[in-house]
Formats: sequence, structure tokens, C-alpha cells
Amino acid sequence: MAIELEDVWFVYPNGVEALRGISLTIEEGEFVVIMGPNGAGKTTLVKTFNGLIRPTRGRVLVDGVDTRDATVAELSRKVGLVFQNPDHQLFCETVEEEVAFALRNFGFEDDEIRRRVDWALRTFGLEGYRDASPLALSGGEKKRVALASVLVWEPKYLVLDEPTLGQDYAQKKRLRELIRGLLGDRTVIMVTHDVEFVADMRPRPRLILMSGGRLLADGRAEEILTDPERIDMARLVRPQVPEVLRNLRSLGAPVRTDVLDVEEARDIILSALEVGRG
Amino acid sequence: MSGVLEAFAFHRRDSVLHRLDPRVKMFYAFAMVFVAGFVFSDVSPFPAPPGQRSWLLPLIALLIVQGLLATLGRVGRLWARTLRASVPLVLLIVGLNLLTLWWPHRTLSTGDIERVLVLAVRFLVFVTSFSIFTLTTSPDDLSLALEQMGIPYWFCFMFRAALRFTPVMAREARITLDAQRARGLELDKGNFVTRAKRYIPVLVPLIVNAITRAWAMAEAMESRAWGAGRRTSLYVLRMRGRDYLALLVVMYGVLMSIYVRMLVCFPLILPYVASFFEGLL
Repeated sequence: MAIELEDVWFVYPNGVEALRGISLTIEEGEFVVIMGPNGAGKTTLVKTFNGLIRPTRGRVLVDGVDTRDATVAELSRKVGLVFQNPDHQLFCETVEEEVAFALRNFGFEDDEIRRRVDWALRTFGLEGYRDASPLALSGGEKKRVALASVLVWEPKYLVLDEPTLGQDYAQKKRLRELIRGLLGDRTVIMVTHDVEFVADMRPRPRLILMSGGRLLADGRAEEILTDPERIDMARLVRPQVPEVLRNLRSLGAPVRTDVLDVEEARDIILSALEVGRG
Repeated sequence: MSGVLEAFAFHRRDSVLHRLDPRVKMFYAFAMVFVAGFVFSDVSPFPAPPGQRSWLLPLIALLIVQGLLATLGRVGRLWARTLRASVPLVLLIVGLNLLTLWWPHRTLSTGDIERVLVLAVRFLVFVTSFSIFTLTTSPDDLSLALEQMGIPYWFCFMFRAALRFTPVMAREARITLDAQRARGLELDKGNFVTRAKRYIPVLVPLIVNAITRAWAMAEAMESRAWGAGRRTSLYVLRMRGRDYLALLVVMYGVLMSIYVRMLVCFPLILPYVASFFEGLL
């Protein structure tokens, strides 16, 4: 069971080629991060997973079903897509109703709806806001409501578009823990610009770099994020840990530079210092 | 919905029409409305020759002239999109009128049908004359034209802001629609009432965002001293030779159509069309 893309092309009506021949497979249970500059086609790519965008050429298979043969609602049962900006979707009078919206669309029973909404509100620390208007919440809270309103139907594949945008450090930390908790029995696909957020992520995700509608790189995060050439090509900020190590190395220190982890970097620097002293 | 909005959105191109003074183009749009509404029409200050039957022919001619003008302004395809976007409204106009004409005697003559077609074509002339104007005039030029015609600045600004944010709203509508569909919303299910209800999840975020944006914009404008006092204009519109020439051509066109109205007797054309097709069969 997987999401498979076979030579997917997508051209917007205004002629912009957003995807140019993308082929990739995301297996069930994987943790995948998609990064790239603005206009790389990241959002367009994830929209093909639940059929919001049907490829102009090539095909997308979700658990073997061609997205052209299913409705967005049918595909969404499996692929839950959380949009970038919660202001584009929150509309209910209370947080509770907002979280229940999708469950009603999918025809869940009332008891089941109550049970799932309770669970989602608890998971996202939103119990205190049950009767509050989602429109009156802070940015971070809105984001959590949007997340809860998708996770509540427990889609097999969870896709997050820029979840860290406009979030402060504490919220990012919380989000990281949340994602970690979801991993294992669920596939999580995350689109982001936030290099340090990915660098601090445990377990390390598979990283897909995109640019100009094509795949630039697809591999282990620590391998790609410590490669300055590819990071520059995707116009991302270089993560700090390998930058420091590379700097030391250029001064002659005998250190490896393919490291993202702060503790690991500390040990490498310490042992280099000992070699220097000895 | 976004199709209708896009049909009026300005696209930066270069053509004779784009370079004309916006006031001339505005005059043209109103002149077209005048000709279609008060010259080739039964509601008119000008007399028609006895035996005048139908305005379908001259109105179709006006529509063709507009099509040619749009092509000249290199917005032919966009203009055609305006036509396509007005189809639902035209069908509504035609349907309602046919119904009210048919109801009293439960019959319809070809004359009735032709009268309804006249309404439909006239409506198309109205809509498309303004679309030629807005398709070839940037919101800035438009607002400048209004301003220099003595209309208060705050009103011009409001008008320009409304036009400028139309494509933004269209984009937001699409994103919101996608976001709700991703949460299982199906818009094309159920009868008319339930379908209309399904638009609530799209409309609420759209309206809320529009209001939020308006507040943010008002604050940003006030912090840039909006309304502080008398304004000066960086650009001043000046009518040039070709603008006067275009103005003359439009005025000549209006006079010619009044002349045509008073002299030419237009027959019903549907019977001819019908007999042509019968001949084919």
C-alpha cells in the first residue's frame, strides 16, 4: 500500500508547468518531508495525492486506485490534507463543530463523532476551547484546530502543508512532538521551508527536494541537509550545525561535516580538541 | 463563479485600445448602452418608421462590432469568455420571459420568441461593452479617469480597491473550496437547497477574510497618511489626437445608429431563419 506517482505532469490553465515529470513512491508508514523554494510545485504535488489536482499527464495511484477514478471525498478518507492557512477553512460557530465537520461529511455515526471529537480535542490541547469560536482563536490555536479537524478521521496518509508557518518556538516544539506521536502507524508527509525544524526532527525523515516542478533530490535528511550544494540549489537556509563544522574544517580542524545533531557535533568537536591537545 | 470574475479582470497587454484614454473607453461603454438600450429599442426618444418590427438584426450587428473591437484590443478570447460566463444569466432572462409570454394564452408566436431574443442580445451588448472597457483599462487608469472627472478620491480609491481585490478573492475562493473538499465537502450532491447550503463553508471564510483584510488595509493606509489633506497626482491624464479621433468615431457611430433607426425598417428575422431550415429539411 502506497502513494505512487508515475511521470506526473501538471499544467495550470494559465500555462504554468507546476509539475514536470515527477515519479516517486511513498510507502505506508513512511515519514517524508518535501522542501523547495516558493513556486517549486510542493503544494501542487501534495494536492495530487487526494485528487484536488488531477495530473495533466502521468498518473497518481493511492493504494492502487488511480486518482482519476475516485472523487476527492473518497480519496480524502485515506489522504488527509491540512492546508497552509487555517483562515481558508475555519467557518463553524464552535471549535467542536469545526472538528466534527469532516466526520459529518463522511457520514460517521453520532456516537462515533462524539468519541472522535473528544479524542482530537484532547490530543491537541483544545478541550478548553470546545465552545469557543474558531475564528476568535490565536494563530497557533487556529492551526491546531485545522490539524485536529483533519486528524479526527484518522486518515492513513496525513499531509501537512507548511505546518510551522507563523508558529513560535513553543508551538513548533509541540508540533514536533505531535508528529512524532503520529509516526509508526501513520504515513506523515510534510511540506516545509523550515530547515531547522527538519534538522531537529526525530526520527529523521526521508527528504525530497523540489525545484521548478522537478525532483532535485530524494534521500535521507542528514545526507541532503548537510550537502551545501543541494541546499543552495533548493534556495534553502543551510542548517547551522554542519555550517559550524564546515567552518572549523576550513580552519584545519579534523571534523566530519555530515552531522545535523547538536550533541553529535559537540562530541566531534570535543574529540577534535583532544586530538589537537594530545 | 470565478469565471465571471475573471471575465472582467484587467490583463496588461499592449494594443490601440489599451493606449486610449480611459475616459474615451468609458464614454464608449456608456454610448453602447445608450445605443442598445435607447436607440435600437422600443423605449426611445427617437421615432421609428412605420412597419418597424424587430431590433434583433441591429443588436446582433452591435455585438459583432464589439467582438471585432475586442480582437483589435487583443482581448478577443477574454471577451469571448465574458460571453460564455453570461450564459446562465441569459438563459434565466430567456426562460423567465418566455414563461410570462406563454402563460396567458399557453401559446408562443415566433414574434414572441424574437422579442425575447432581443432582450438576451441586448443584455449581452451591455455586459460586453463594459467588459471591453475593464479588460483594456488598468484599475489605476480607471481610478485616475474618475478622479480627474471630479469624483471624490475616497470613492475612486474604493472602486479601484474593489477591482484590484477581485482576482485575490477568486484565488481565495479556489483555495477555500479545495480546503473544504479535502475535508469531504461535496458540492454537487443533493437538490438545489442542500447544494446552496453546502456553499456556507466556502462563503464564511471568504467573507471573514475579506473583512479582516479590509481592516488591515485601512490601518496600513492610515499609517501612510491617507486622508491627511489635498492630494496631488503623479500622473495627469491628457487627451491626445488619437483620443479625440476615437471620441469622434464613437459619437459618429451613435449618430449613425440614430439615423439608421429613424430610416430603416427592420423586419422579424426568425420567420426567415425558420423557413431557411425548413428548406434544408
